[in-house]
Amino acid sequence: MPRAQKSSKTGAKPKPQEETVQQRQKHVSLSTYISMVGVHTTLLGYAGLFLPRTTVLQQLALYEADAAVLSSQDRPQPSFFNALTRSPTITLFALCLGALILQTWWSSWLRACSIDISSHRSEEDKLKEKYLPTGQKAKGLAQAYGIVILTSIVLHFILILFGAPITELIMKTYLLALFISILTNLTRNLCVGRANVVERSRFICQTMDLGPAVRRAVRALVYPWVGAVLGSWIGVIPIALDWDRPWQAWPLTPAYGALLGYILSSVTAVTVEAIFQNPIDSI
Amino acid sequence: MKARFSTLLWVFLVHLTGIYLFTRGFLLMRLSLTDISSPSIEQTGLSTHKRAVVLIIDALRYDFVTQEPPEPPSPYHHNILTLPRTLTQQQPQHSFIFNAYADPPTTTLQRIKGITTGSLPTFIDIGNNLGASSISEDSILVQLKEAGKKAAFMGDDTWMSVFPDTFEHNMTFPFDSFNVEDLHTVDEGVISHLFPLLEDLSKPFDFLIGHFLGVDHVGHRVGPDHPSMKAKLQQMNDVLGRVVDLLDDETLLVVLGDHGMDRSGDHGGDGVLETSAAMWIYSKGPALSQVSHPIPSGLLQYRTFPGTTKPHRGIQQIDILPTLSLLLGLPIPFNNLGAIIPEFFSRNDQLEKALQVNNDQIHRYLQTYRSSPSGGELDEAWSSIERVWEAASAANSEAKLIALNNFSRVSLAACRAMWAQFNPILMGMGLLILGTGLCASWAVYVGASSAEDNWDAWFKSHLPPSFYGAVAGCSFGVVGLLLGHSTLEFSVFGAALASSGLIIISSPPITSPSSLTPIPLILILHAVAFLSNSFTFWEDRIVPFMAVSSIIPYALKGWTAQTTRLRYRIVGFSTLYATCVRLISISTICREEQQPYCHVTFYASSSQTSPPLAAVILGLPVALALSLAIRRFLKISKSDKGVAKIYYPLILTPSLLGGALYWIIEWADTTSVLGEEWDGLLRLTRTWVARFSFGWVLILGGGLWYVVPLCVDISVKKENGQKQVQIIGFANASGSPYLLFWTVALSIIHITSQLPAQVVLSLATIALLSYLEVLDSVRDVEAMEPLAGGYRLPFRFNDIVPLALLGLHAFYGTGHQSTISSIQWKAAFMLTSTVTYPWSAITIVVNSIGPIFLFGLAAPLLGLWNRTPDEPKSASSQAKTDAMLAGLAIMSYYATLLLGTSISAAVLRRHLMVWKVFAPRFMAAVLGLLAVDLGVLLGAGVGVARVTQQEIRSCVGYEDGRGKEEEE
Ligand SMILES: [Zn+2]
Ligand SMILES: [Zn+2]
Repeated sequence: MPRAQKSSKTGAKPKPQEETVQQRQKHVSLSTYISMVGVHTTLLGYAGLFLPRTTVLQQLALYEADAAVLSSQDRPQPSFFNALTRSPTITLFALCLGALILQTWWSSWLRACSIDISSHRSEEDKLKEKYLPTGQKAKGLAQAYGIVILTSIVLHFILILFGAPITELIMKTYLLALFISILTNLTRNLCVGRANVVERSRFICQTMDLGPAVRRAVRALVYPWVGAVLGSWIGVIPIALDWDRPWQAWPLTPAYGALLGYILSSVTAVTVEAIFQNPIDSI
Repeated sequence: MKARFSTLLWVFLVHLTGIYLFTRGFLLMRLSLTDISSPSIEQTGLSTHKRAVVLIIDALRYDFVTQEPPEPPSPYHHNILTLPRTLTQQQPQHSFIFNAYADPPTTTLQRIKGITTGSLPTFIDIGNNLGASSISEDSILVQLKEAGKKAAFMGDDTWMSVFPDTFEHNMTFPFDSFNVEDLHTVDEGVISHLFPLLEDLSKPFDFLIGHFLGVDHVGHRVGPDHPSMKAKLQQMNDVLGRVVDLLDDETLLVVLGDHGMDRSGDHGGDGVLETSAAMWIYSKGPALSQVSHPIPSGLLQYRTFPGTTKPHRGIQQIDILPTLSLLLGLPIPFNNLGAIIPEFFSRNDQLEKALQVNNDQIHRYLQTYRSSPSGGELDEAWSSIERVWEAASAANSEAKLIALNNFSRVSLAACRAMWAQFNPILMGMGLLILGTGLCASWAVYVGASSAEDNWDAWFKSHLPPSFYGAVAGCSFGVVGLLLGHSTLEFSVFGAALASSGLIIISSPPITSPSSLTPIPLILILHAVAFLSNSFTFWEDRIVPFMAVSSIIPYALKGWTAQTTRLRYRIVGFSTLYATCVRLISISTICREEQQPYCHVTFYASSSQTSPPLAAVILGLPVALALSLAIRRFLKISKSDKGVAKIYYPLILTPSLLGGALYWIIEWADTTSVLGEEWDGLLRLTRTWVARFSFGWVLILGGGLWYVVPLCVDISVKKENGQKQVQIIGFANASGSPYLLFWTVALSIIHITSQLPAQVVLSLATIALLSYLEVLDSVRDVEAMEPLAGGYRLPFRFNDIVPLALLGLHAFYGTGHQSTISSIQWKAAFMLTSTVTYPWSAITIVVNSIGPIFLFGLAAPLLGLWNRTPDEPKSASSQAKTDAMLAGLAIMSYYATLLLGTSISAAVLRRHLMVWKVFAPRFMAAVLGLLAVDLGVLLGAGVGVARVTQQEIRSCVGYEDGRGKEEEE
C-alpha cells in the first residue's frame, strides 16, 4: 500500500537520529517546491492558452472547424480566443498533449521529493528508489499511462452520467475525460505507486490524518486533484447561458475550468504550505 | 404523531397564504368570451377608407415622435423620427399624433391581443385554449375574414401564435422575435416584403400589418440612449417616408408602438414610460376631420408626458380598434372596451351615431360577461355602470355626447381595476410570507432535530404560542380595512406572519455559526438560477446534473466504508441511482427556446403526439419489470414477505400492466394501425382497461394495505423447550409497508402517464429505491465510526436533495416543461371518451404534477427505511421524527424553489421573457409545492400514522418479550 500512508505513522514523530537530515532536506525542498510549482503552473497555463495556436494544429483546426461556429459572425469575441474555439477537438487534443508532457515531468520531480522526505527508509534505499534503472522506469511509466487510459474510460462514463451526450460528440467528451484523467491521475500513479484503485482513493479521503511531514506531498497531490475536478464541475455552468458565444462549445469550458482549478489549487497548496509549515520547518 | 402532523399542516397553510397573496398581486386573470359581433345597420355611413396599413414599431414610445420632446432632448431618440409631425403640421386634418396609453402588462403578446380585440388581455385569459397563445375572442381580423377581406402580415412571429391561420398564406412573412441580439433581421424582412405589396397595383390586400422589432431590440440590448437607437429610428423614418409616398387615397395609415420602454429600454410593467406609446394616423386622401364641426372639449383628454410642460392629446391605445373598425365599415369586435376617437367622426355630425354604436357594443359585452361564470367580478362596479348607461340614454344634445363618452370610460375603468394592474403591495406581502415561512420551517426543523426524543415537549412549548399568534395576527385585517384594501388578504397575512415570527423568535434556527453547516449548496444554486432565463429554460438538463452531483458525497463516503460489503453497496447503488437519472433525461419534449440544441424523444417526432415505437414495444415488459424490481429491492431486507406476497403479483402487477395496455391501445387507436373499423371497439376497450386499473389498485390495494400493512412473516418455533418467535423481514418493518402504500400512488400516476413517461417513472422508482439503500448504508458506515458510538445519526437536510431533485426530474422526464403548452390533454380522455368533470380534470392534474407529488409522498421513506418498530422507544420515536423531518425538508426544498421563482418573476416583471419564461416557471413552482405539500401530508397523516401504529408494534414484538430478528 501507499508508502506515504505508512510513513505517516512515523512522520509525525521522527526519530532523533534522522531529524537533522530530514530537516535540512525539507527546508531545501520548501523553497524549491515553491519555485517548482511556479514553473509548473505557468507552463500548464501557457500550454493551455498557446499550444492550440501552433501552426500545425491551427491548420488541422481549419480543416476540422465547425461550420456553425465559424458562421456566427455577429457574436464578437476577442480575436485571441478564435484560435482556441475554432475546433474544440483540436484544442482539447493540444491540452491533453501539453498536460501529458508536463505532468510526467512534474510527477517525476514530485516522486523524488516524496522519497526524500519519507523518514522510514535508509539513505541507500532512497537513492535506489530515486534512480531506478531505465527499464524499470519505462515500465512504471507505461503502467501509469495505462492506468490513465483506463481511468479516462471510466471518466467518460461518469461524464455521461453527469449529462454529456451519449451518442453525439463522443470524441470531444472522451478527450475531456482523458484531459481530466491526465491532470488528476498521472501524478498520483507515478508518485504513490500502483496500489489498487480502492486503496488509493481511500488514501485520498484519509489525508487529514497524516502527519505534517508527509502532508506536503499529499497536499501537492490532493489539492490539484480536487481543484481540477471542481473546476470542471463549475466549468459546465456557463454552457447553459444563451449567449451563443463560440467558447461555450462543449467541452471547452469544463476543460479550461479543470486547468484553472488545477493551477489555482496548486498555488493554494503552496500558499498553505508556506503559511502553516514554515514555522515547523525553520525550528 | 398528531403533533408532527399538525406542524406539517401549519407549514402547508403558511405556504398557501404566501402563494395566495403573491398570486393575487402578480397573476392577472380574466374570462374571455367567444361571441362574435355581427354587422349592424346603424353604423352605415361611418366608413371612410377601403384599406388600412397598420405598421407597428415595437416599443415606439410617445416622445420618439412628438413635436415637443422632454427637455433636454436626447440626441439619440428625440427629433429623429420626424415624418409624422411634419405631416401633421402641413395637413392637420389628415394627420394626427396621439399619446396612446398601453395597458399593462406591456408585453408584446398581450398588446397584440389588446390592439386587435380592444380588450385588456391578462396573462391568463381563462377560456382560451390554454395550450396555445392563440385567441378565441372576436377581433378585427375575425371581422375582416367574416367580411371576406384579405389580411397580409409581416414581422414579429408572435402574431402567428395569436392568429395561426387568419392571414392570407401567400402574404404572411413571420420572423423570429426573441433573438434580442439581432437588431436587423426582422426589420429588413418586413421592408423587403412590405414594399412589393404596396407597389402592387392590383391591391392584393385589404388590411396589412407590418411589425418592426428593431427599436425594441435596441432598447433591450443597449437602451434608448445609444447611437444604434438613432440609426434605427432614422431607418424607420425613411421607411415611413417611402410608405407615405406609395400610399393611395383609399388607404388609411396607422403607425403605432405596441408599448413604450422604460429608461433602460425594457418594458412589461405599468410605469408611465412603458405605457406611453406613440400613435400616428394618416389619411392621404379624404380629410379625417372637419374644422366646421368642432368637438365638445369634454370628449377630449390630454396628458403631459414626463419631462414636458405642455399637455398633449392622449387616448387609450385600444381606442384605435373601434375607430379603425368603423372607418373600414366593420362591426366593432365583441369584447372591445375602447372608445372611438372623436376627431375622426366629426364629419357631418356623425359623432353621436358613432358613440352610440360603440356604447351599444360595450354594453352588450358587459351584460354577457356579467351573466358568465366570472360575472361576479363586476358586482362592485355594476351599479355605477348602470347609472351612467341610464344617464347616457336620457341626456340630450351636447350633454348626450359627453354622457355617451362617459359610459365607455367608466366601463373601461371598471374592467381595468379587475384585470390590468400588478399589485406590488400584495406581491411584497406574498414574498414576505414565503420568506418568513421558510425561516420558520427551518426553525422547526432545527428545533425538532435537536429535541430528539423530547419532541413532544418541544411541541407543547412552541406551537401553541404560534397558534395564538396566528389568531392575534388576524386582527391585522383591520389595517387592510382602514387602508381600503381587502380585509381577507391582510388578515391571512397577519396570521401567517405572526405565527411564523413567533416560531422563529422562540426557537431561533441559528444557534451558532456551526449550525449553518453543511450549507445546502445545490438548493441555493437551484433557487438562484431562476434569475436567469437561460438557466430557467434549461432547467430540465440542470436538474439531472445536480441530482448526480448530489449523490457524489455519498459515493465518496462509500470509499471509506469499513467493510467491503458496505463499500460495494454504496458505490453500486449510487451508480445505479446516477444511471437511472441519466437514462430519464433521454426523454424530453424540448421547449421552444431550446432549439436547435434539443431533439424531441418523448414523442415519435416534434410534430406528433404519438409515442416513439420503442416505448410501445417496451410498455408491457417495463411494467412487468418494475413490479419485479420493487420486490427484488425488498428482498434485500427480506421484507418481500407477508402481505407483499399477495399485493405485488396480484394487485400491483395487473394495474401496471393495465396502465401500459391502455396507452398501447390508445396508440393503436390514434394511429389506426388496425384500420378504421376497429376504432369504436378500441375506444371502449381502453376506457374499461383504465377504469379497471384505477379501481383494482386503489380499492383492493389500498384496502389490503389498510387492513394488513405489515410485510413480515411470523413463525413460532419451540427450541430447547423455549418459545421462539421468528419474524422475517423485521429489519425493514416500517419501511416496507410504507413502500407498499407508496406504490398504490405510483400505480395511479403510472396509469395516467403516457408510455415513455411510464418508463421514466419506472426508472425513477429504481433510483428512489437505490437512494434508500445508499442512505441506509451510509448511516451504517457513520454509526460504525468511532465517534458515533453505534448510534445512527438523525436525518440531515442535505439527505433530501437527491430525492427532491428526482421528483422534479421525473416531472420533466414524463414529457412536461414549465410551460402551459406542455399540458398533456390526452390524459383527459382516460376514464371517459368525452371531457367529463371531475374525471377529466383529475386525470390531467395527476398526469401533470403526479410525478412531483409522488416524490413528496416518498419523503417519509428516508426516515423509515430499514428502521424496525422494535427499536427502543426513543429510537422508534426518532424514526417517526425523521420521517417528519424528511417531509418538512422536501416541503422546504420546493418552497425555496417557489421563493426563487417568485422573486425572479417579481424582479424581472419588465423582462422581455417574463410571460414566456419566468411567470410559467413561477406557476409550475406553485403547483410543484402544492403537490409536494399534499404528498407529505398524505404520507404523514395516513401512511406513517398507519405504519407506526401502536397495535402493530405490540403484535410483532412486545407481547412475549422481544421478537427475534433474523437477518442475512
Ligand atoms: Zn413589443
Ligand atoms: Zn420588448
